[in-house]
Amino acid sequence: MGELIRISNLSKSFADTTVLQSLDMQVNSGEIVAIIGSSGSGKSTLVRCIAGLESVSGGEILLDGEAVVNTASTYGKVGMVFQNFNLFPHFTVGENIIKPLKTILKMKDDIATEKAKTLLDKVHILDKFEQYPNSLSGGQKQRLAIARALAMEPEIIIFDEPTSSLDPELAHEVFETISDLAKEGQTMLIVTHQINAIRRFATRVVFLNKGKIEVEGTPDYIFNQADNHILQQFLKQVDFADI
Amino acid sequence: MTNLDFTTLLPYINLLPAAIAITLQVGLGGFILAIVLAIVVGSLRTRKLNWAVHLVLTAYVEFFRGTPLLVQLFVVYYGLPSFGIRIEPMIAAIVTMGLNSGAYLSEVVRASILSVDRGQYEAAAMLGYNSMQTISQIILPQALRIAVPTFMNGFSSIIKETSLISVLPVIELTKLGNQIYAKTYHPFEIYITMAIIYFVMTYSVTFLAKWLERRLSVWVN
Amino acid sequence: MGYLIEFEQVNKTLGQTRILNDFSFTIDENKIFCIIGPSGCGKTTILQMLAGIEHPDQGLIKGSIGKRVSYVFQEPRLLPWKTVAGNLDFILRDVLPPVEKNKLIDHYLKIMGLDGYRDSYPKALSGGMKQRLAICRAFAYPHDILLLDEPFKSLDTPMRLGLVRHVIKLWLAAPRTIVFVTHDIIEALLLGHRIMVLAARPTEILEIIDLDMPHDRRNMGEELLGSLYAKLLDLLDKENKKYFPEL
Repeated sequence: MGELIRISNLSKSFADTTVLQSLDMQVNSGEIVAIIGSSGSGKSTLVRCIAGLESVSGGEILLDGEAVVNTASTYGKVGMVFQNFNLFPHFTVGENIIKPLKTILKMKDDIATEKAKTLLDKVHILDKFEQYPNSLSGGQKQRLAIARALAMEPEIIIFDEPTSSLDPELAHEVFETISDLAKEGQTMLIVTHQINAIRRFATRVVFLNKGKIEVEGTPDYIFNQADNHILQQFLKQVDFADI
Repeated sequence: MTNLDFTTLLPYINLLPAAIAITLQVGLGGFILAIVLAIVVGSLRTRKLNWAVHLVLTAYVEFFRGTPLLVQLFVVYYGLPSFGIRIEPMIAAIVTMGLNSGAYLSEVVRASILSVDRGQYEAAAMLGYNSMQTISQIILPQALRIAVPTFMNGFSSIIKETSLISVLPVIELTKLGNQIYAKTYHPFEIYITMAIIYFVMTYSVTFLAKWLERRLSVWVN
Repeated sequence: MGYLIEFEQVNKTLGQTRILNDFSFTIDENKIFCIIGPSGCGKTTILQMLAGIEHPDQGLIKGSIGKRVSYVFQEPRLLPWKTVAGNLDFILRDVLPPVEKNKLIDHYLKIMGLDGYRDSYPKALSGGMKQRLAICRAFAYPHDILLLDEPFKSLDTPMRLGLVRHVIKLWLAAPRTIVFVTHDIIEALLLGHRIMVLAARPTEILEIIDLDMPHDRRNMGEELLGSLYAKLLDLLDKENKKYFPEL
């Protein structure tokens, strides 16, 4: 499996707050990397830098060997699923997928429609095709967002706290969909608090603390073996919150 | 005062359609020009601009918001000819109404664009939309939906403000009213009639606005 | 000298009633044209035709199209919430540039002896002064024809004569076409260059008299005016006898 992302000596600060400092990390194709950590540990900032949504203050991020400078450098390679869905409210469910396909990939209408239907079927909201996003539940919205990201056939999909604004049972729906993608071998980078959900399919877990990787390893290692005081503390906290 | 006698207006009733048509032409022409200006100027002003462009746009908006429409009409129609620019009164009326209203509505467009969630830009960027495509396909449709009620208010205002163009040699409703006044000297009957006609026009716009809003509301949260 | 407007065998019927029967006359440019006749003789219809609001059923009116018309009515019809100058300003600001407008207002108020009342409101004016202001307003408003429709009807004789003198003064200052409708023979004789006498039902022209005498020589003691007065009185009296033979 080839190397997809290589991050070396990455640092990022906003004004005089340092969020990430000299961080090194890499992601290979086929990996499903979960990034965990308490609030303010820099996990969202890390993935936003990878996506090109934030500029880096120091170091570099290479995607397929090329430096990530802005979203133009990640287009077509990185798909993003946001905490707040960021669906296009003025497009129907179908159009949320069809329009980008036609605008960006210059796909023909019938082919784009066919593709949208296939993807919507895959995330189980094909029956909402003609409706607007405002009629969807939170879980359905996030599944639509996933389908929209998938449509562009990115090499990697980044999930930035995809279930944080959802009720637990709706979060479960979304993780089911992510789990399906995992089975297909989709490369993913998932920032989440819900460690139980990712235990099942993450190939690697990265624990971030104060802008640095504190410890990383397989889920089994992180959740059962790692002898790291800060990680233990963190896991104790989230165990209560995470049902 | 004498009793109201609307029959004095009857001989002039056949002049009304032309005056109403002029009022509507100026109103609609001005409104369309205002929409175009508002979208272009409003969108541009949400972005980082070359200082010269920024200065010109800001000067335009502030000038037209900071001076009376009547003065603007005088400047355009009576002032420009002294620089060798002579404009037909109808064109002057439409252009001035459009520039004036465009300045106000551009601020509405700007505020509406700024009120669209940042996440929409990020989602579009991640899908590969460039900034033109993002503005035109993702942001503006949402911003304009937000702006529709204010735009329609603006349309009502323009129709009412067309009465000010009676200072130009254009026979719109108010000017016709003034002319009929000079033929009958019955002010109440005339201006009540004119007021009713203006009211019918602006009230129709209100209905149109409500219908439009309902139609455009399907996707609003 | 050219005529401004010509009626050529004009006929007009409103409903069942014949209003005008075979009217032919001309109104000369920059002269005063008087119409005398009993009430209900179709004078209003003639005025509306002159203003281009009414049109003949048969016959032709030449020269009425595109003429600017200014009016004086029986009642002054002033705006009570505007001052004397304000009433003039209200109609003029639409049609004249500010400087020219103010000059004109000053000019007319002076001629009409109203300059001392510039800032008074109409309620402070006598009936005669109000009508003087209405005349002033009509003269000041840009026009090709000035229509005065029995403007002195509600005033007493001395006031009427005074207003007739004022109209003459205004006309002498700037001679323009005036059409003056009255049922008072004396007003017509003092003012008119041409006097058209009408009969009622159906309205017909009884007589058209041309009177070239300069205005400064016109007073009722003048022999010619005296004889014309008698003639016109006779003419109108004969009309009465048509309807009331027992008289």
